[in-house]
Amino acid sequence: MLRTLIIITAICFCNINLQSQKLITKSGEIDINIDASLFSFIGHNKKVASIIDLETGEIVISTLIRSFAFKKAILEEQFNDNFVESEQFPSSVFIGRIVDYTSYDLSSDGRYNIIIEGKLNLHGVTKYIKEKASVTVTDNILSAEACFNLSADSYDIKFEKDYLNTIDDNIGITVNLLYKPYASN
Amino acid sequence: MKTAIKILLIITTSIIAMCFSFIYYAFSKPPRNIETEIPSFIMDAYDLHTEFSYFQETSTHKYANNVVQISGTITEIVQSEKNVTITLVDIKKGIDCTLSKKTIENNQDLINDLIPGDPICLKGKCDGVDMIMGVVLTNCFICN
Repeated sequence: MLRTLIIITAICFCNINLQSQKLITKSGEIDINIDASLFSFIGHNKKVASIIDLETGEIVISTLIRSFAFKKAILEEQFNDNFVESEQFPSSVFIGRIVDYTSYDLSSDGRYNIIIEGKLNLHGVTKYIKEKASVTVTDNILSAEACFNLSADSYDIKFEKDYLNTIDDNIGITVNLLYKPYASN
Repeated sequence: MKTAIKILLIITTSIIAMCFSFIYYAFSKPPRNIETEIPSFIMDAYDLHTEFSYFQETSTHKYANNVVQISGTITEIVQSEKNVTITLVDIKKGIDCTLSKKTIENNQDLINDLIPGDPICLKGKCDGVDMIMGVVLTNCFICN
């Protein structure tokens, strides 16, 4: 009886310990910028979720394409219906890790320039990406930001013929994530 | 002859003006106003969550990009500098409702008083279901 109690207590303790090694956010932000000759498609998404495992450096970022908001209705329609076809491909997910994770001590306050690598699924296409990012730790609060470009063509995002010569193939992406301990979220 | 030219000029000018008006309207039209939009679906939060849990793909096609009004019990309320998120049904992967900027500005006292367990009715745009957040409703307004 006592032995069983000790085992259950040990499992519970391990579970709590593991949970505390993970951080989560459900209100991260992604900004996108698609340059066109007449105007720019600037979209803002405040519903970005992410989980980071502090034990292994593994990271998952996910968002729904419909959560991108634009200042003008026509830009939102063009983006959803013609560019990223959000009805057919409603979400985008990145699953990866921090490169050389063990060389960083994220338990100490500071700013760390890191590299993340992994697979990004966008518009039904999965591609390997490796990008620079930065992580800031202040009083045990971890925030991460990254700024990079994606090629629309490599994700099979085809701009309408009218726009073909006027829209830049590069999609500017800015990511901001502010994490909290997983257990309290 | 002069009259014919005048009529032609008026018609041409009118067509050009109409084209410019249409282009201006199309490019200046603001995004949809969820507050004034009549909800496409009015339902219990638990039912919406159950539908998404069992039939994710069909539910996404059915509800995504539509205005949905749901009633349920608050399981969590998270306030940050910019956002207020109210979770219904399940704390981990329930229905994640982000209030609109206007709702936060006009109902700050009411929002501050909300606690888990309180009943609430929210109207917002359904964006679909996310692997971490669950069912996502954005630009939400508190129903009267």
